Amino acid sequence: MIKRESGRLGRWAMGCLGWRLEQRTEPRNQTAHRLAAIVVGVVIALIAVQLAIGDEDAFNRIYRGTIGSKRGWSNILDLAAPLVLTGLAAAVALKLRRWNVGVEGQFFMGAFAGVAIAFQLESMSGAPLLALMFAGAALCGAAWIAVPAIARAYLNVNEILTTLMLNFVAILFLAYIATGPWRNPQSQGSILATRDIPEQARLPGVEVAAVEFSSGLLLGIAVAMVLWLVFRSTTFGYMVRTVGGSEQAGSYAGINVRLLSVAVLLLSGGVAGVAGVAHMTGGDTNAYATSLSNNTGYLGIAVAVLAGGSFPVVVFMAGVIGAIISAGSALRLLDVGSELGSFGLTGFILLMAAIGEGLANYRLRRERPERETLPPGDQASPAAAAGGAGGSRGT
Amino acid sequence: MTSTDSGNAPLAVQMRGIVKRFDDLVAVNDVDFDLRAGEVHALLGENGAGKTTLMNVLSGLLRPDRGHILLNGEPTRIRSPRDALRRGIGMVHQHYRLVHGFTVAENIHLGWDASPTVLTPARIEERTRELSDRFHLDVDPAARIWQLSVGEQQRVAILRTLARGARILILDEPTAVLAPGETDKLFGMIRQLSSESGRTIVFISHKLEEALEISDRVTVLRGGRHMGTHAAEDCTPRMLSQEMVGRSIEFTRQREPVELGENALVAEALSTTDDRGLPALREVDVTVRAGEIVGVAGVAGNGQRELSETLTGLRALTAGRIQVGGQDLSRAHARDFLAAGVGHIPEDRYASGLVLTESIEHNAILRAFQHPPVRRGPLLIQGAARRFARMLAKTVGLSISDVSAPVRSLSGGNAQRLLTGRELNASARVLVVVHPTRGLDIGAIEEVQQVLLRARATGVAILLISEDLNEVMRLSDRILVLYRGAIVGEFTDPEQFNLEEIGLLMGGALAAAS
Amino acid sequence: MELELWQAALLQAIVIGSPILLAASGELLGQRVGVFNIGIEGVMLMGAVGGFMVAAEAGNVVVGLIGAAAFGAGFVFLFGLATVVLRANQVVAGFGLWLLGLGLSSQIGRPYTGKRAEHPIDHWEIPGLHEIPWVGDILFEHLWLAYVAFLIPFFIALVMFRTRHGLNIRSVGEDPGSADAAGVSVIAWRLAYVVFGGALIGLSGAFLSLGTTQNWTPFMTSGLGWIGLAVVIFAGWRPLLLIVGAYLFGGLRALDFIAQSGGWNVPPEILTMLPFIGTVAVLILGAWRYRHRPDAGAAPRALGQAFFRGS
Repeated sequence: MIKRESGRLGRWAMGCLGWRLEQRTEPRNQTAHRLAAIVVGVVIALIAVQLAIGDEDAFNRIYRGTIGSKRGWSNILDLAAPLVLTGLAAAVALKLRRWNVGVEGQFFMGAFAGVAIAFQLESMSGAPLLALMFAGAALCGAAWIAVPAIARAYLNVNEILTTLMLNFVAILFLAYIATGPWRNPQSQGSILATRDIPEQARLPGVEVAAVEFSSGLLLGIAVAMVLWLVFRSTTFGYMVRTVGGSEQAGSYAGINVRLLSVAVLLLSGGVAGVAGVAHMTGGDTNAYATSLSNNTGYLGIAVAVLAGGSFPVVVFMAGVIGAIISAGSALRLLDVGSELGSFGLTGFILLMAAIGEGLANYRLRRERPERETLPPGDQASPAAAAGGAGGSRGT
Repeated sequence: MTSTDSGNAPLAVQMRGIVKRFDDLVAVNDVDFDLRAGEVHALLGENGAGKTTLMNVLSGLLRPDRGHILLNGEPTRIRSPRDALRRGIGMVHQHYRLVHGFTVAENIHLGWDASPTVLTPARIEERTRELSDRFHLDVDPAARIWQLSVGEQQRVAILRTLARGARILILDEPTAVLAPGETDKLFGMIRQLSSESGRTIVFISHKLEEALEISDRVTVLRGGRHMGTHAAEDCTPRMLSQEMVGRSIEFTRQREPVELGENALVAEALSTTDDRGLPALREVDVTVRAGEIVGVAGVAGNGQRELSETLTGLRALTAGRIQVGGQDLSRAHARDFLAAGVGHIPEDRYASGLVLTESIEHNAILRAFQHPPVRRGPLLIQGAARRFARMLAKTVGLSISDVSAPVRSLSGGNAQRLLTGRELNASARVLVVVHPTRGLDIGAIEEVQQVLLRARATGVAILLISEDLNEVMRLSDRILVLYRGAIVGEFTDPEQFNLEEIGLLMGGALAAAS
Repeated sequence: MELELWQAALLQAIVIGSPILLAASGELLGQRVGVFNIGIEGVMLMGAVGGFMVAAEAGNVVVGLIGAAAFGAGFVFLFGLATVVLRANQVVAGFGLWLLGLGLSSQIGRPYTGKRAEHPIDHWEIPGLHEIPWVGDILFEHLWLAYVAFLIPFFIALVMFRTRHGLNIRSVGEDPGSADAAGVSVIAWRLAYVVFGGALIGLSGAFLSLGTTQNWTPFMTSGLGWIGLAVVIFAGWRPLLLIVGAYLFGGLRALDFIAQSGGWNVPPEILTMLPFIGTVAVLILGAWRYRHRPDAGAAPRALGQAFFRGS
């Protein structure tokens, strides 16, 4: 067992208050800590909104812009749809304690594959074309993470760094494509886009109880269910749990750890690629555009982390982040930046969640007053003290 | 009261009523501990007795929950290792805590107030050379730590502590990874430090004989409690072992003769490399027959890990041949070894043998999940897995109600019991066992050893790799000595096993043995 | 003044490379003590907006720069508190920091959006040197902060490899457990250097808002922070190579403009992505070189790992 103790600085800070942060031998209840931190984060954010605006109308607006109206619900679900899939992509990698920070890039490459196939096979009818587009997107997303995956498995190259770098390559590649051969002559300003994909290659919208949303959401939920089943009740899932717990134990159990590691990261990249094409075919932007992602890939990592890597919870957390972003745009009219709502609040909650998880490593204990000084008798004669100690506590 | 009437040296350290908890575990419970100036004091106890924790408190790494410390009679609060060093207390940890990518000189000067503010490699290497001469500790200042042997690393760690003016030197299990020859050298150094320069030395150990050989006084801890402090000359090993474990330990050789079967494991001219790509095994020949225990003795780092890994498919061979029951496995992977009936009790059971983040059930099927009934096609059959886990738990005598409990809730002994049972279940033919009893308490040690002997009686071929020479001698029918990746000696007659001879070979004395 | 193409490229390399260099120096300090600050882009934005605001309010550019450094340091202090003191996951907290920085900077900067900096950073012509023909006006007529940015890596290298202080810094990122045992207070060192790094990253933001563009617009860093992160890796965590990396990456980023004026056929995006591909290649080649050296490598070995004092 590893015995740990908090550092000096932390002790000092807490000591001032008469409390002491104590390292646990193993973290407890990370989920509970994370949830508590998220709740605290939201509460702080609401208080901040109140302080910043001081207008009761703000909360009203937030309410109506999110869960208070059909339009609000429709907004949330549309925003959540791509986040479910990018969240799942990040969560797949987390099962093996890998960080696929490249979801953003794979998302773009998935959309690229979709648009490329759609333009090449423009005359094809809807269903087979869409099937091809999705398959191509999965392959392209997986291909985009192949080098980091192999480098990690065989040379132990930090996948956080490599996948992150490839995001920028993907984004620049996108800019090249969107300004190059398939450029939409109408696109202008800083947003570059290709022309729209053919009509039959778009996913229809869905309407439930008069709430409209992208069919990508249904796809995301289906993928979440499939992943959940696969990881729960196949030997593949068992192997991932084993290697995720300890790579050494994985090799020991006869698992080809490197191959499994590559496979899991490719799966993660594939899901991210599907997220890209699903968003393009099902969302408002029916083209390959620089505005396509809006940090969806990065927010997906946030979703996966907040969900503790659990597939079903990813779906829920995507909704939560969707709601936060909706709330952000609802506030825009009140002279509060929507960026503050969408990014700032997400970031803040992510930071809180990280702190919550960090705190799960500790417990708070009332500082016991130490007996600093000795009874006078003992101090007078060290030898007597020694004698008393040596004898009375012997066997 | 044995300790107080002898010796008149002043008390350098008095620890009083020290309590240290980790979560709900009380690691050190109301312990008093004294050090006389200039003595060599052995701190003796089993694994988990609280020796290291107690000394971590004295060296400032941990803060006691209760109790106080007097240095030279003055109540003192020791806030950090740095603070401890300022007061003349230095600890050399079991893992020397040296920065492996740094040079010896850099490690010596790291975090040291007396290092020059501006330093160049040449300058600190020169200073290191001077220190090395002053303390008669031979080190190469420009070498990087990872290039050094463990014995050399230990010298660096000791030199670093001494250089910072430690008058009280705490050595945590300093002999654990040393060859007998290196141990003698260390003992010589300890004696010199204590007699010539008057330093006080705490020698943490779980080895009775060593403690008695080197120390002036001995303190015994058990289960976090102080059991007694004695002058070394008043002690007998029997009495100390009774204090350590609460009863006397009598290991008897209860090995019935077993009819040896065919060659179950045959390895010829095995060669392989370590993680750095350097040769780790050189043409090693090992043969184990059914019903035989072959012990491999050696100091850690002489190829034991690589030997166990090649024989279980975890490490590729660069040359040589492995056969199990007549089947060639020279190029095979861990799965194939398992399928051929090779079980493996690995060196580090918590990192390799078990998945600590998972349940008992998950761990129970670790060797069975790729075969029916647990597996059907790509599916893992939950019910079958549960039944398998319950069956295994029952076989090894684990009294647990729920196999879905996390495996980390098991005690060390129970975890090893589960692991051993699982491996014996998986492998009918060969078992490669590495340090099977390390870190276990006496009761569990006996039980694991009995399990191995019973397996032997049923015709399993066992290769036992252990640092514990006594264990190897007690269990083995034959002993091989591994030194620098090669077999340097073989002892075939259990009645003639000779500790001294084996020890010499382990240390590299190349005398031909019978 | 008509510039030759290569002169324009060199000029742009320095103009764009200097803030990258400042940011990369800050990131390097954090990573060298083992803290991977993935939120660098957000910190840079906070520095940009903070510097702009303080300079506008105080009416003084130096006070503005101090403000930028304080904004950066204070913002990273949050991150340090989470990751170093509470041992929260660095990737999660870093992403949080980035997103928070994006949102917070655009919010607090709203009153200043679109205004010009009244007190921008001055240009310095280095006496004598700037009159050198061909290169003088390219190399020696820059914002004074650009010269500071150029000198910082030298200073870092000097401290890191030639002082006791630097030995301690390196040990904390390499093997915090051993550093702790040797008497280096890991938590304090990590917090101090990640925060100090944050101050430099904040300065790099102000380089943009008070120097290059002389105004504040939301998201104005447009990925320069990420490039700073890439430069640290590209340089193999060696301070002096940061200079090479930053100007190289800055120059390649400037190619958009240059390719247009030069009438090249190569799409500028393809050239701009080269440094990122190069960084991946550097990582992989480095790992290949050190594949048999489990104890060594280019990256600080404890990078991204929380430190728990253990026994």
